[in-house]
Amino acid sequence: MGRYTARRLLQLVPVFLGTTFLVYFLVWGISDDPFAGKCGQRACSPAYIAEMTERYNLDDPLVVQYLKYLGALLTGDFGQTFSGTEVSTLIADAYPITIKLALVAVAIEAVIGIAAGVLTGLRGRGFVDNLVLVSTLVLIALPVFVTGLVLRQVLGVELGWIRPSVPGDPTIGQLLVPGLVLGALSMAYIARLTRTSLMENRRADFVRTAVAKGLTRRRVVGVHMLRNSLIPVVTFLGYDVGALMGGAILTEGVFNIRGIGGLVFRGIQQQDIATVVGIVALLVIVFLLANLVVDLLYAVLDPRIRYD
Amino acid sequence: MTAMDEHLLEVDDLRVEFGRGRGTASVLNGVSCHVDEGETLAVLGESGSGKSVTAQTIMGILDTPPGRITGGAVRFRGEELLGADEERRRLLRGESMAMIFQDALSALNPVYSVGFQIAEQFRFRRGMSRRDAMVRAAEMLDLVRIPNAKQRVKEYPHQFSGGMRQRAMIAMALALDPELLIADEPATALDVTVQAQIMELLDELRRERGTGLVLITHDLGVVAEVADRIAVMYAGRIVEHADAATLYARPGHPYTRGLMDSVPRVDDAGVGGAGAVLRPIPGLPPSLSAIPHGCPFHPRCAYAQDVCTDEVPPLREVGAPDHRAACHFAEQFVAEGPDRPATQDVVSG
Repeated sequence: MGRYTARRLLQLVPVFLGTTFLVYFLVWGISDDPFAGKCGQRACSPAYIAEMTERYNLDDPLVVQYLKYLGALLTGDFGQTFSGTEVSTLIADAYPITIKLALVAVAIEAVIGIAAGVLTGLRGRGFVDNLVLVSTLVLIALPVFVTGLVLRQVLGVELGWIRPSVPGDPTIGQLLVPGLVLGALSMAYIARLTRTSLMENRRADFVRTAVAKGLTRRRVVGVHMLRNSLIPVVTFLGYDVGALMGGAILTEGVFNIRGIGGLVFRGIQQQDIATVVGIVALLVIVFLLANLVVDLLYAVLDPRIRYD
Repeated sequence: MTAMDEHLLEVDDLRVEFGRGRGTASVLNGVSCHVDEGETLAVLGESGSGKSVTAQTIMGILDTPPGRITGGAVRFRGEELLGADEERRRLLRGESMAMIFQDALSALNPVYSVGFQIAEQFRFRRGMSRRDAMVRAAEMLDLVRIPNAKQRVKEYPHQFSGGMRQRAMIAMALALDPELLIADEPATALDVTVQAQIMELLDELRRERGTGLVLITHDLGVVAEVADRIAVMYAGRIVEHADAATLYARPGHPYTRGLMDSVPRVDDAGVGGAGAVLRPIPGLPPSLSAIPHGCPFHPRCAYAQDVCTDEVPPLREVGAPDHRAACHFAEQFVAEGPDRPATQDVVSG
């Protein structure tokens, strides 16, 4: 597994270079005038243009610009926004909030989703099963901003149970409802995945063997059925963590959370190129690492999978 | 019932149905048999004849629903099992009766090591520590002649070859030293040389430990070597029962005869050379939701008469003691011996 991990880590290099170059090229290379609209209604002053051209190496060919940017990035310098703020400061402010929100969402997905799936998967057809199937279908069908806006309006504005706008440094408790909104879709998928997986394994030969050995029902279900059934669920959860670490533009927008999703969204809107490239570079690495962890975890859970 | 004529296992008029309403399939229609300590009863029959359902009902691992036990009794050392509570049945499983399944690859849990799965029984039924249980598991693997048992005990089922997996399965079944072992097609999924090894191993372990063995198979060749008695099943009934020698010498049911004719025999080839002809039984086993009226075998039987379509022939003693057959003309067949072909499309030569 060591060699496999090393190989996968090496693969990160070309993927990282490719994606960052692509983003860099797209945002700097495509616009004719990077200063359009930067100075309000007027044209920018020559002094400002000269300073910015110097800061972003705009006189160099695009590839050289990119290489200079990359060089700085590798020393930990994410560059500055047009207004002069360090991009690394922006990320340092926003990313902890995104991570917190993602973890809350994943925890909700895992606990409620798996519980609902196990309950229905073991019991089989009946009232609870129908309830879960219908409610998950509703969650899958509803767009995130609808659940978000409805919950904010009902719980935040009308009932006053939560603050409709999350403060700058939110606690876990304040992120519960946003996390629920963010995780709702995956929660529904996890409930269904767990249910199907358990139903398949319930009639598996090895479960019958476990019963024939005279093990208690608790052990048959808890040890022989659950472990096998949860392998695909854990994999799904792992990928979801990777995706959620990339921020949640809609959920952050609805609840006014200052996470990485909103940051990159505003960066794109304001054509703040350094912000966009810097964050995307970071997110690419996080996503690739999350996928690698999932693949390794998969091999740990299922001994039939071996990488070498 | 006195202790003297108490069998290790006795199945009495067992009836099982699957499904409900019009699609109800009568899978077992009054199966009776018994096994004593140290003896081997072979249950022979085609796919769908009810062999596996019989085994599962005895073990108490039949899926209900869709299965439904509608009558009969299963007695273990005189104790009625069908009415017993689930906890009592669980305690008997593994301890008193154990089962070997056909496909060891799917019957073993893929995500736990072979040793873990054997050790489970020592841990949870004998209260052994994890470590001691693993040592015992390795001893069990050694008992079924898996080389390097100490190392292999930590391996996973997919790392074992087919024959080794089946040995591990046997080790698992024998872990708690049960008095009754039910082997459901234990060698069918294996190639022929490995089949022979597995059957030999089973036979040896049975003799050493005095275990009663129910050997479920569709392979006459396998049965001939190891079985003391043979029960032939067809459409959820036992249609013939005899000790092995009698059954081979004087089969009383055309179906038994047909089974024998559909198996190639070495002596056929020796005497007749290329002239040895396989005579398969024509037709297919009946659908269990529409078992033919009268004798269930009559649509496929070359000797069927009017009486066969009207009356179900009872299983009764025909000639030798303990030789029972369910055919209206069983006495005739027994008297004639085995040379009369079961089908009329006789090929000369």
